[in-house]
This record gives sequence, C-alpha cells and structure tokens, in this order.
Amino acid sequence: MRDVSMGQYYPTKSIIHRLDARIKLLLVIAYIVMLFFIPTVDNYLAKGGNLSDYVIKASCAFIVVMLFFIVSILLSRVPIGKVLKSIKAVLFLVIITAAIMLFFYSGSASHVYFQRGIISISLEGIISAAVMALRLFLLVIGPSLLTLTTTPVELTDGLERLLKPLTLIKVPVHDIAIIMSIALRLIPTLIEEADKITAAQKARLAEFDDGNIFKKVKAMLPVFVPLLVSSFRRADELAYAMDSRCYSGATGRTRMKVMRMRLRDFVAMFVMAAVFFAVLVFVYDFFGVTTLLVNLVGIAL
Amino acid sequence: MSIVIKELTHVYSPRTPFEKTALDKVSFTIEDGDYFGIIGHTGSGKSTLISHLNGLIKLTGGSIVVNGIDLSKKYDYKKLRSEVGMVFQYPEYQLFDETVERDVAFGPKNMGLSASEIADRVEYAIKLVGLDYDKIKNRSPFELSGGQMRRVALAGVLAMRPKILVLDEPTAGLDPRGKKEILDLTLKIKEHCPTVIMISHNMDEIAAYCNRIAVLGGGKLEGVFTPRELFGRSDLIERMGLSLPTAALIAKKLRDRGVQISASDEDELVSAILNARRASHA
Repeated sequence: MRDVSMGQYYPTKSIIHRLDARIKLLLVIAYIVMLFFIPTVDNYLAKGGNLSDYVIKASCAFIVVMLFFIVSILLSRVPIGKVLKSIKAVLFLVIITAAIMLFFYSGSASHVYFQRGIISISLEGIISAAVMALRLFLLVIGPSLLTLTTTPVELTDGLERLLKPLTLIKVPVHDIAIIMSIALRLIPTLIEEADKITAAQKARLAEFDDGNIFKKVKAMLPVFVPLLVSSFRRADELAYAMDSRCYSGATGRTRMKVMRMRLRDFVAMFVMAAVFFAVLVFVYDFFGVTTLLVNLVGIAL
Repeated sequence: MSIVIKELTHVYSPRTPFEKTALDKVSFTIEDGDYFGIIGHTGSGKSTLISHLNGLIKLTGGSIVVNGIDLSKKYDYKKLRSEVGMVFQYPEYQLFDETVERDVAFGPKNMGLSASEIADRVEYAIKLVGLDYDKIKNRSPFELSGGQMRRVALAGVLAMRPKILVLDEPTAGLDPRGKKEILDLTLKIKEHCPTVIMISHNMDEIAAYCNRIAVLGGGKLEGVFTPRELFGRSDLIERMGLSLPTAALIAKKLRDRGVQISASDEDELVSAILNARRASHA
C-alpha cells in the first residue's frame, strides 16, 4: 500500500533528498541531455572519425557520467539495490536493443567476426551494443534517483513552479498541480479503502482470483461498486471542505513551504555543469585532451 | 470450543524503514458464550488482532486456534470464515448489490448453499437485525438511511450463521439512540451466535455489554479483566489514555469528595447514591 502512495520514495534525509525539487528536476533534464551528447558509433564514423578514437572518447565520457552517478547514489544513501530495481522494468528492452545492435549491425564494419545471411557480428556492432545498453541503463536509472529521493508532493510542487511561466499563455498550471496533488493524496486513501472493502468481502467468502478474465472482473464488482460510491462521497466532502475554507484557485494564494534556493542547490548545479563540461571536453576533444589520451594510450601499447 | 491465542506477533513491512510491530506476543483465550470486549487506542493493534481471527491476515508469529481450527497449520479458510463472522467499521460502505436481498445473499451464496437455504437465511438475517423483510428486500441498499444500511450490512454477515461474531466499532458514527439500538441488537444476536467479540474505545459500551475485556496498548496486551476489575484499575485506564465509564467516573468523583460509593453502571450508581443519601439522613 505504502509503495504506491510514496512512489518509490526512500527516506534518508540525505543532502540529495534535501535539494530543491525544482533543481533536481532541472538536473535530471540536464543529465538526460548530457547522455545524448555522447555520439553513437554510426554517427561518429559517418563524420569520418576512426574507431579507436571513438572508443577512447566514449569510454572517457561514460566514466565521467558513471562516476557522477555513483557519487550521487552514495550521497543519497539509498541502498544500491533499490536504485538497480528500477532497471528491472526496462531490462528486457535493454537486452533486446543490445541484441539487435549486436547481431544486425549494418554500418560500415572493419572487423567482421561472423557472417551468415543478415546476421553479422562485428567489432563495431559489439561496441554499438555496449554503448546503447549503457546509455539506456543510465537513462532509466538517473530519473529513478529523482523519484527515490523526492516525494511525489515535492515533485508536483516543483513542477508547478517550473511551469509557472506557462500561465502567461493561459495554461492553468496551478489547477493542474492541485489536481495532481489531490490525486496523489487520495491514492493511499483509496487503496486503504479498497483494502478494507476487499477484506470485508473476503470475510463474506468472496473469491477474487478464480476463473477467467470475465469472471475475475465480475468478482471485483463487490469491491468496485462501494469504492466508486465512496470516491464520489469523498469528492463531495473535499469540495465542501475546500469551499468552506474559501479556496478560489491560484489568485492571491501564498505558499506555506516557500521553495528557496540554498547553497547546496547552487553547488549541485555547479557540479552538474562541471560534469556536463567534462563530457563535452572528452567528446569534442576540447584543448586536445582526448588526442593527448589517444597518444598516451598509443605509447603505452 | 473457544479461541486460544498464544504469543501472537505481527510486524507490518518487516525489514524496511516502515517496519512497525502491530502486535507483540499477545496471548489470551476467548471462551464460548463470552461477550468479549477489546479496548485500546487507535494504533493499539485491535484491528490487526481481529483480522487474524478469520485469516484475513496471515499468521506469522505465535499461534491461534479457533473452534479447533489451528491457523498455524493448513486449514479450510472457507470453513473458518463461515464460523467467524466479521463486521468491520462502517460496514455499510461494503454494500454493493442492486437489492438488499441480493446483498445479504452474497455470503451464503459464496458458501455454496442451496437456493432455498439461501432464501431462508436471508429472511432470517434481515428479520434478526430488526428490519421489515417484505418491505426492504427489493429496495436498493443505497437508498436506505444510514442506520438501516448498517443493519443490512450486519445481516449480510449474520446470514452466514457464524458461531463467533466480531464487531469492529459497531457504533462508530451513530447518534446516541442509534448506538443503543445497535448494542441492544447485539444482545439479541447473541442468542443465535453465542460468542460475540466487540472492539471499542468507548468504556461505557464495553462496561455495559461485555463480561470480559482485553486491554491493548501499543501492540501489547495489558491484561484481560472483568468490567469490575478493570474499573478498579484507574492507573491502567489513565495510562492507556482511556476514560472510566460515565457511571464509574461519577462514583469516583463522589468518592474523591468523601462519599463512599462504588458503581460500574447507571443502575448501580443510582441505587448507590440513593443508599448513600438514606445513610446520611438516618
């Protein structure tokens, strides 16, 4: 029950938890954009780059991103297992994507290890698959750190503040936000209610997991009907309660919890900017850093 | 036949940050024919305790034997749930069917009884809760008054002819008259269903109707008492954040002012006060 109401929220009071929700949202967006700055193999080769340069650039960039991510997890004090759990939902997608890349790589390939019909395994394909898997992995797991460290209520609040400029073009941002908060607020209540009704009907020997889909739906009626009735009752009561406290929408409304940027928020933004810059440095070979690395690796080999 | 609870322990969300011990080694026995009260504050574990009695919460620590059915072993939960009728708080919120008759028939139908047996039981249960069977059977439960709805919900459980009836705050949200009606109804029901267990946090109700009372606090059993024993334990009642029944409270206040009387219900209080007056006039 708790799982749904709090989303994935994992309370630890860490510095990541205490960051401003708006900043966290922005940082996640920056993080996602950053991941897309790392080019794919195809792209890089198409622009006339060579494979070994690519491998060094991409791995440097990925190492920076991963380091950043690992440090964030450690700071958030969320158990690593919880973070990895979010990947489970898309693991299948990642595997399929990587497998397609691996077996059906169609770009120009320098080292082909195996070829039969349309199936071919090449060095480029292998690197492609690895990059794609890594990117998807980081893409999914980054936002999950946001939901693990931010309550749904903070998220809607943050979103409302971020989207506020849209009120200029008559988007009812406040109303949307209040609908979202009420919905979030009522999810646990409804689940609790559903649990209670289910228990009451079970006590009258109701069976919920017998037979085919139609039978199951029919079996759920003794739960759905009272639940629907009570949601309407609740909606009425809530509307009266809000009315009697003179709720009238966004106009003239002030906040109890004013979101204020603190030092840690600026530090977080600075760190994110630095990481982003580092990725760009490696990918676009600013100051010849990557060239230097390539040469060093060459000497070492 | 009885309910024997030994070392019952239940932990919600174990091994997570939300871990909460709802019941901690609770042991007591409910005998046949008891009108057994369970009293305690919100969060004391009352509801968790009774949800164990018909297997709605799986037993994870300790043991419970209900009328010979050992819940720590594999058991026939259909049989258990027909023996232990469970009326939750605000039972009228569980009504769902188109007519009162069909709603009350839900339990017996799930028991797999014959059509004639179901019809008999529905009529029996609706009459038992004091409603006019012929007038009400074809009405929608949603157009009844709150008090009637609660009775229909109660009938829905009684139609299963349980041997043990568990009532979770049966008077919640009713006015004083509605409360008394429902409580008096439980006495009538008790003639058909010999063991009644009532959860409440209202001492007056518990004092007037129960013969034995278990006091729960923070998941622990503070003891099982007769009403008279319990009202002698004002230290415990205070510590549990409960209040004495009104009659006992008045008697206590009079005692504090030097009138030597004791009483556990209204009748006793009235005669005790009259006696005390007579004694002081004599």
